[in-house]
Amino acid sequence: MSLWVDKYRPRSLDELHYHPELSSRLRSLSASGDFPHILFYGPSGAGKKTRIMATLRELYGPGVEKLRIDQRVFVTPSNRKLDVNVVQSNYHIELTPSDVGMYDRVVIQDILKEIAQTQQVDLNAKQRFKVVIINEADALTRDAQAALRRTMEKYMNNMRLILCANSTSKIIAPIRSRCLLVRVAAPTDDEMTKVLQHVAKKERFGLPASASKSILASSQGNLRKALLVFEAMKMQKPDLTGDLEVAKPDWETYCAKIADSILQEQSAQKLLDVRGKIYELLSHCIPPTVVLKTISERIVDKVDDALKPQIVHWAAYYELRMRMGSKKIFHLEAYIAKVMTIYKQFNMIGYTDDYE
Amino acid sequence: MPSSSSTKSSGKSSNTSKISTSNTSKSTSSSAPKRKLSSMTSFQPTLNFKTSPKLATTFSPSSSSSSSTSSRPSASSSSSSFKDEVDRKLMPPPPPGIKLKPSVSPQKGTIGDLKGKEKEIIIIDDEDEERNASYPYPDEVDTAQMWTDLYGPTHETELAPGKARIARVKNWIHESIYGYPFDIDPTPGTLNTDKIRKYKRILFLSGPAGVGKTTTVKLLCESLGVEMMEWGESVEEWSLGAGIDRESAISKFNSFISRNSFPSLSMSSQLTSAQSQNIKPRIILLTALPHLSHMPTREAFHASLLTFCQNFNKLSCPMVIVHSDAGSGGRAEESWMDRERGGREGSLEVLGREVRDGPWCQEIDFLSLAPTFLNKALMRVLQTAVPRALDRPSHATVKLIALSSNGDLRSAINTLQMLCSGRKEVKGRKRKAMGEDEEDQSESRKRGGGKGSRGGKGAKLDVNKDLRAVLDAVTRNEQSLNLFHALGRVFYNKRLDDPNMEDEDQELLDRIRKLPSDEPLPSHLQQFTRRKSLVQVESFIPTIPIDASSFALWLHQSFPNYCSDIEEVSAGLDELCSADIMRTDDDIWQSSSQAISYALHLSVRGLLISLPSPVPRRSQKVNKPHFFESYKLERDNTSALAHVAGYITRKGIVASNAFADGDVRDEGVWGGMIDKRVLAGDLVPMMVKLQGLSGRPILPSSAQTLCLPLYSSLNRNSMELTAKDDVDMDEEYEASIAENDGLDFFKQQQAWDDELDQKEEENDWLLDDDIDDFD
Repeated sequence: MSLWVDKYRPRSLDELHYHPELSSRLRSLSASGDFPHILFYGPSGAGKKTRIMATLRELYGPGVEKLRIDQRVFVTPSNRKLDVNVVQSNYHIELTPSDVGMYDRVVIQDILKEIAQTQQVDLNAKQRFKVVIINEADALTRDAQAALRRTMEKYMNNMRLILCANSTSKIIAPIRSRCLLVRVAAPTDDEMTKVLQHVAKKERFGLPASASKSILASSQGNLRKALLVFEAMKMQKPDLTGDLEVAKPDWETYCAKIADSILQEQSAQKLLDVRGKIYELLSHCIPPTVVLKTISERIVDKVDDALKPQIVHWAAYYELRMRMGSKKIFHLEAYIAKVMTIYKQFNMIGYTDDYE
Repeated sequence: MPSSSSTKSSGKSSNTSKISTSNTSKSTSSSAPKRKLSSMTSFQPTLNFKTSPKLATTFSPSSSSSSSTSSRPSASSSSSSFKDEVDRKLMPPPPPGIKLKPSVSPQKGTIGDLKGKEKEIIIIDDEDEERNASYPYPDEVDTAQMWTDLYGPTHETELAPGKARIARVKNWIHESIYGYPFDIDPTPGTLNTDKIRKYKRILFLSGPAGVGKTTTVKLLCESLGVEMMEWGESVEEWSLGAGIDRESAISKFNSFISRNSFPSLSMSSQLTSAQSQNIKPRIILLTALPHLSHMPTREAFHASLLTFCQNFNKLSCPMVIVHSDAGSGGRAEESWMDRERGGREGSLEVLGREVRDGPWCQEIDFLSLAPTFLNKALMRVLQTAVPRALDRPSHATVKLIALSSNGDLRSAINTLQMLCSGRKEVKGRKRKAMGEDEEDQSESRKRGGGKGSRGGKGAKLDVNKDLRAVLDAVTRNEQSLNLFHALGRVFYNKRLDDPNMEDEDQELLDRIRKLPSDEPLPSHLQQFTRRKSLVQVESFIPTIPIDASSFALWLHQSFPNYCSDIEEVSAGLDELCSADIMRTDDDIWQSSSQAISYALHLSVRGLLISLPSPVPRRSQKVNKPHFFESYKLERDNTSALAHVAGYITRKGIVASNAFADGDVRDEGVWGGMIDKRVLAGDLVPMMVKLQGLSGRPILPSSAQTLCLPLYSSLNRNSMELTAKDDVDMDEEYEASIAENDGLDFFKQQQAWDDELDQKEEENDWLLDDDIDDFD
């Protein structure tokens, strides 16, 4: 069984449903013979990886779909072995160096050197260069990014890089300036509806407008999530009518409930209750920043307008501190305590002090 | 009389420390001959040097040790030529009259007793049998030996680990040797024993120290009539070899394996069946592993294990590896150290990927023992060790020892022995004081002072004090008590002129009263006005028994309980955050030591100013940080996530290749890697839902730990710290783990897709079987 997300994923640039200008730009780049390093960025579920794969197909033809998975072993200077999974075809190699944390520099250097020093063996290949796809480029350490920058200049002949990131803000300027920045924006509601209708048509059923509306509302421009929710909804209620319950990931429900209990009672005891749930979320690999963001979004939805800027201000404040500190739970909890404090204050005296 | 008890306890603690050192020295000295076995090729296993430390116990009634095959004379006569040579290198050979005793005897008494003890033992050794027979305390001689060695379990039912585990180990050993499980009757003829034996090459036993892994194996081997070859590497060999032997440590291991992987006389492969039945099957036991953090050694070790697995014939014998996992102390630094070392050595590091994932290897994980099991085992030891019920410590004492040992049976028995030997000492001395020798009398007179302080009140009181001292010294209660006090100092936030100050140290109060009064704060800082704190931070900070980062976690865990308002909690948490940010770098070893101490000051002082004064007393409890547990879970889940990512990628690649070949089925054609964040946040949670709805498996079973439990069912019982507790672990928690060994019920309802994994494994199996199935 395969998910709709995978099943109806466009495989070529022509099949893409939205951002037609971007598709035509990518097509002409592939045809020009002067393919640059590219940095794809945009929110999660907007279609970056889909566009990358489609571009590769445009570059090399269907041969890029003959894939294999390899486990590469790298040895750090301190003699530690790192296992890294790479997916590759004859024309490209894809890796996620940030998997190995602080050792990503070693992986980047070794792999890129290896790729760059081997010529394209396939004589029938359309391009002389190989493509290296680097996932989660914004999670690379500064060292690794610096290493990347050197190799980008050095091996331009044999190799092109395609970086994939959520935002450019965590990528160092030298890399940004060496890449063509391609922003893949999240699809608009209309575009998402179009895709959902397309899938519904292929699956041979009709999609009522109410259902598509509730899917869009819950997925917030994330097409992957929309399709997953859509499929779950279809399974729950095959006729897709009436009162639809949108299936959400469990952790979102958690965050919503945490937000509710924050607003429900502001006490040390409640904070301790909430702490248990937050630990649970963190131990299930939900990134702390996502937890903080989701909780504050929910709170902002529910509180008085006068409080909203405060909530957002403190969310930003504690998220920054969380990045600087090492124990995420301290900062998450401090944020929650702060929100409880200002909410309580607001309820008691009807206004709040200014920030700080 | 507080002074005398304090001196006694200090004497005791020095006693215990001495015992522990002599214990280690003894274990090394007993392992030294063992190791020699491995380095000398010409030695046959019947010459078992392991017995030598045990020889002194020849008149012990219960010397039912596993390896008492050779008696003293035979050993000494056979060790005439070059064994002595090697012995001398390793350690000075004991003079025959004294029989190893002097080196072991310091275990018994305090430093002052040392000389007298030696004397006494020499006398005993020179006495004739008659005298020994009339000896009132026959067991006293044995106190020089560890009870863990003497009174180890003699039957399967006495083993401490759970029955199911023992049965699994037993079945494995039986299968690996005879080719069918223990509890199944073989159907001769139809069964090809080698087919099973071929895949039962390595048994990997892991678990915390002292739960009886090695003992289980040894006992089972004995009961199944299996000969055991033990490999243990110790440290001295490195220093002794002076560089010559250095790189050969691993090659020694290799030759050990190749020498011993077959039963003796294996060179004559044309044995008649009658002969081969006479030969005891053999098993290789690995307890001390080579230095695995050294990369080349580890690789060589893995390689030799792999060859061991692959080279199988009818006569090969299986291997059991015993590995106690250490270092699960749960300090805050662990997260960092783990990253550096790649986690503590698990089965993967020890065995290597090929061996572990190969078909030859089975892992059995021992859990730490629940106090009830410990209690049972301790009572059994006590009954055999101390024949007279009067001499035994009370049940409550035994229970206390069981509780405080953290599931480590070995340390519990050692504690018990120490306790009991202390009691006997008193009696033995009384007997001594009757006097036979002039010297002895002078000895006893010298000891007169000590005796006087002990006597009079009777043995009962002695025991209680001894117990306290021994337990304090052995079980690290000291540390947790200090931690408990340190946390209390912060949480109670005592300030001058609090109500209920009667029980405070008047001296301290006076001293603080004498301090010059503070300048009044300007009006905009009025909110920070506090009375003088009784916590003198400068002198308090050094008394904190754990590192700054862990202490912050402890503070964080319980501090909201002591606040009355959310504002106070918020202020306090802000201070903790600021302290956390003090570590400017990710890894705290690189941030300067000043930063760490500033952070500690900031968290302590920050909390003191945020806490209400006086702190409301609602019988709040100090809880253990949830952080460690959560961190461990997170680490497990991260690796589960990596597995799921690999699974999805592999599946996608299969589909993608099929698509490229023109096979257009309705499979997903997505070959590529998936962002971990996306996987954890979107894909896995939704796929779990879809899987539940459709009833068709789309995720591997490793994903089941990634499901969040229901929101409401989350109230985990909080773990309270009491003054008696150990800092590192929680017994009840451990026990509860030991009891629910199974999977969560909710997760079993779903079907998981392990097809892909299984398929690969099956392939391996079938291929192997097909190719070299020669008999």
